[in-house]
Amino acid sequence: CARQPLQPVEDWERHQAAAQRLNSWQLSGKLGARLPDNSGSARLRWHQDQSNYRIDLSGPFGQGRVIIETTDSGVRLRQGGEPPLEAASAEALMWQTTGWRVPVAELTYWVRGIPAPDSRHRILERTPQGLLKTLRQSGWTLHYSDYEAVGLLPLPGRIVAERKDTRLTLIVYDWSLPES
Amino acid sequence: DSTAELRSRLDAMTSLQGEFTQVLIDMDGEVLEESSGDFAMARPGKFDWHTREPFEQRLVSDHESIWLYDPDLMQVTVREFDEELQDTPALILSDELTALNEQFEITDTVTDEGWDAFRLEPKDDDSLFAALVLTFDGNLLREIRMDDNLDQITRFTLSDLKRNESIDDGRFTFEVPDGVDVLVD
Repeated sequence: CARQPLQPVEDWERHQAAAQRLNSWQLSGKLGARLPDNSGSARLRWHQDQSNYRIDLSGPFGQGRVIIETTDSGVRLRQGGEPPLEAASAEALMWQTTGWRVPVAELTYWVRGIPAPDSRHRILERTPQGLLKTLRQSGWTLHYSDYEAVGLLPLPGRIVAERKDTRLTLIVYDWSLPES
Repeated sequence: DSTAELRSRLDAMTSLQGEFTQVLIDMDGEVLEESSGDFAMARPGKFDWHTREPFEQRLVSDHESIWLYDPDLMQVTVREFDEELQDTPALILSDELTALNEQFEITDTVTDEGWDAFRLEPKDDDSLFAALVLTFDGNLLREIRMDDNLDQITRFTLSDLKRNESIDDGRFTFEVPDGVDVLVD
């Protein structure tokens, strides 16, 4: 599908509020991770519904699949052939099983091209349309590119998140929104 | 028995190349994702599995190392070829057969089309998938299906197949394009 041209963001606060209101969506893409002793890539499907999410990671053939999902008591990780693991945070579960440091809570906002609401952030650079290009928050530096208009909202297609010796790259091939 | 029958089919297939479409299906049969590309395999242990749509990814083995190349991530992960047969289905098709029945329970059934479907279930339970099904139309491999242990199925339908034709070894080595980071896993 041809990419609609991105409209410039007139009012950043209004854009940010619109992106925050977008709390039900689904994306499919790829997550690359580069850490000193553990690198790789996984196919990624992320389903977000209000504050609940289900993140599905698997290898090129669908093998080695890991699912992280919210439950009423916290977060659960399911992995083929292993008993489910429960924890208070997805970050702890991800680190425990894949050795990847992934700030899942913040990513639910970062992936929409906006800072996470409840902690300080600095916008270092913007795109010509006024969208986030470089953001610093919670010790991470985020680099945004490949924005695409999805419904009325411009959403990023590529996000690189760096912190100390960890580098995550999230590529979004397809956004799907409930009403679109 | 099934193992011997599968072994003879795989033995008779010194190489295979063609196109594939890959679908990811959930428990209710709904297609979650589709991708396609082309592949080549040669015994022992060599394969080139090249996904082209909707994104590019390439898995190459020269029977010594395995490269996973992600152009959009500008990275290639290299690791040693190991006998962990369950790592990827491509390994099973291209590798020696001795380990086959040590690692899998093998049974076979006949499909409606009259094809032979061999089902391989890993013997140890912390494997990367619950079952692998290789479906042959005579000596021609038509379908590879992988049931992961979380109720999802990945199915490869193979087409435009050339069997037992010689394949230049260059296809099974990976030249790292410049600007791409090499990560040794």
